[in-house]
Amino acid sequence: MRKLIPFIYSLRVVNIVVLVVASLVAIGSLPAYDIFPFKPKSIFSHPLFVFLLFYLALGACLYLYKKSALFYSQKTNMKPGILSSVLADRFNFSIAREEGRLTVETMKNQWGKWGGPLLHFGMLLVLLGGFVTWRFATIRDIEINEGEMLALSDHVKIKLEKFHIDFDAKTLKPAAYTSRLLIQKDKDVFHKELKVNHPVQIRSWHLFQMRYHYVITGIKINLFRSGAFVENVELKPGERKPLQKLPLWIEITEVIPDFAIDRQKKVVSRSIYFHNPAVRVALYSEPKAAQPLSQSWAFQGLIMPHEQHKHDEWTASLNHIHTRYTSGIKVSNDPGAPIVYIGFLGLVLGAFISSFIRSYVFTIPFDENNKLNILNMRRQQVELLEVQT
Amino acid sequence: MIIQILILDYFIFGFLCFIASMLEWRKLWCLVLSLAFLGAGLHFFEILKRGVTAGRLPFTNTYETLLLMALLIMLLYFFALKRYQAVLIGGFVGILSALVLALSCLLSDRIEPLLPSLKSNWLLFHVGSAFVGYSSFAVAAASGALYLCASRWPHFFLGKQIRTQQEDLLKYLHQLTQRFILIGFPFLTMGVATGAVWASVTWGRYWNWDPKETWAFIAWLCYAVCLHVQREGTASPQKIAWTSLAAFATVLFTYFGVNFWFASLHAAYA
Repeated sequence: MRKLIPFIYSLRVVNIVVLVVASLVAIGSLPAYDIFPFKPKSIFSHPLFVFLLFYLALGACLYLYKKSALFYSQKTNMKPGILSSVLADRFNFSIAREEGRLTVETMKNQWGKWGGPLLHFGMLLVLLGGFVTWRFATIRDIEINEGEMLALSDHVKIKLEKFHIDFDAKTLKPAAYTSRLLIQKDKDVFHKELKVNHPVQIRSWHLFQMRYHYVITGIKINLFRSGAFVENVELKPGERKPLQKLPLWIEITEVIPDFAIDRQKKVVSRSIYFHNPAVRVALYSEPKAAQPLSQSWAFQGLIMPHEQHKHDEWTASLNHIHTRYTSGIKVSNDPGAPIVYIGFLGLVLGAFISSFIRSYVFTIPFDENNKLNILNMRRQQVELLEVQT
Repeated sequence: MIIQILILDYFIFGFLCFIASMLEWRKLWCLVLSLAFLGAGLHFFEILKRGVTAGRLPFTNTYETLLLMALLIMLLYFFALKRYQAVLIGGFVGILSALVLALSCLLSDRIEPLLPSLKSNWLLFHVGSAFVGYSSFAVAAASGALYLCASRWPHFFLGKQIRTQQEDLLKYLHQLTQRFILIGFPFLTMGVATGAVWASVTWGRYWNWDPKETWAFIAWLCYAVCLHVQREGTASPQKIAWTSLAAFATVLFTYFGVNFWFASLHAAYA
C-alpha cells in the first residue's frame, strides 16, 4: 500500500489519466453518428468518466496536502543580511553556521511556489462545484406565451406581458430581445425586463432569455374592387372566410415577413422579421373551389393599389398582422455555480502565479574552496555575484 | 487589399528569416525585421480601423479573430525578440501568421452588427485572453518546430557559425518553448474560465459540453500534461518539442475544426 499510493499519484500516471480524460471528452464532443452504438454525449455522465474526474480531484488533494506540508516545514527565519547590498534585488537571506562552516541561503518570491497548489485547489473546487451542479441543480427550459402566467414555485409566479425585439437602425438586424415580465413573489408584484446577457434573479432562481417564436393570430386586410374599397376582413393564414358584402370567399395563402424579389424574379423573404410584410390574398367563388378567381399581394402601408395593378379588378392592402410571441426562458437553480466561480478564480490566479512569479533560491556554503550552489538564478545575477565574491 | 499585402509581407518575412539564418547574413536580418515591424504596424492599423468603423471590439467572428490571432503571433514574436533575443524562430512565426491570414480570405469581411448574445463586457476578457493563449502556444510550437528541424537537419536550417554553437542554441530553443507554454497556459485558463462565466450569464449554464468548450478544455488538459512533463524534469527536449506541437494541434482543432465541422452554440461567432 505504501508503494501503491505514490505510484497511483505519480506524475506519469496522472498524465496518462489526463490524456484518457481528454480522449473521452473528444469522443463525447462528436455528433451522434450511426457508427456509434451509443450517444457520444452520454460519456459525460458515464460512471467511468465521473470516476476519472474523481481520481484527478483526489490527486489534486494529495498534491495540495504534500506541497503545503513541505512549504510550511521549510525554514522561514529570514533576515536582511550583508549580501543584500551586493544583489540589491530584494532577496531575503538567512545565515547559518554548522560545524564551523558558514552557509548563506537567499530567497526571493517564495510566495510564487504557492501558484501550483492554488491552481490545483481551484481545480478541486471546480470539480466539486461541477459535482454539486450535477446532483443538485435544477435547470429547465420553459416557454411562456404573451399574456400567460406560469408558476415557478408555490410562492413565485411570472407572467409574460410583452416580448419585444429591438432592431439596429442601420442594418435592421436584432439588437436586443426583451421579455417584459410581471413577477409575483408572495404578496409583492413588480416588473422586470429579461434580456440576453441580463438575467433576472428571483430568490434562488435565475432566469435567462434564450429563444423565441411567434404565431400569427390574425391578419387584417382591406379589399378593393377596381380601386374602390369593398370590405375590411380579419382572418388567419390558411383560413377561408366568406365576405360579408359579396358572395365570395377570401383566403390568405402565403405570408412573407420581409418581402423582396430576387434576381430570378422569385418572391423571397430577406429575413424572418416583419420589416416589409406582405400576404398573398386569394378570392374564391365557392368555399371549396380549388382555383382562385384572383390572387394578389397585399403590402402594408399601401392604401391604393400598385401602379402596375391599378386596373386589376381585385386588389388588397395589408392593414395589420397580429402576432403572439412565445418567449423561451431557461430557469436555473444551481448551488454549484458559486463554488465553480471561486474555483475558476483559484485556477486563474494559480496559473498566473506559477507561470510568472518565479521563486529563486540559492545557497552559498563558504568553506575553504568557496563552493557555490545556485538554483534558478538569472545569468546577470550570477555574473554579478561572481564578480563580487 | 491590405490583408493580401500583409499575407505577402509575413510570408516573405518568414521565408527570408530562413534564408538569413542559413546564410548568417546580418543585413538581411535587419531587412526582414523591418518588414515584420512594418507589416505588424499596418496590421494593427487595419484592426483598429475595423473596430472604429464597426463601433465595437473587432473580434466577434471568425474573420476578425483570425486577424487578431495573426497580429498577436507577430507581437509575441517581437516580445520574444526583445526579451529572449529569439531571432531564429521568425521563419516559422512568419509562415504561420501568413497562413492564418490567408484563411481569413475564405471568409466574408463584411462588418456585421453585434449579436445580442455578444453584447457583454466578457467579450474583451474571454476572447482577448483566449487568443493571447493561442498565439503564445503558436510561438511555442514554432520554437519547438525549429528545435526539431535544427537538431535533425542542422546543415539546412543553420549557418556555419551558428552550427558551432548548436548545442547552446538547441538548449535555448528548448527553454523558449517551455517559456511560451508557461506564458500561454494562464491565458488559456483565463479564457476557459471567463468563457464559462459568460456562458452562465448568457445561456444559464457555465458548462454545456458544447464542442467549442469541450475542445478548449481538451487543449487545456494537453498543455497541463506538457507542464507536468516539463516539471518532471526527466523528459528529453525532443519530447517536450513534440508534445508542444501535438498540443498546438488541439488548439488548431479547437479554433478551426470545431467551427467548420461541429454544430455549436459558438458556431456563429469565433
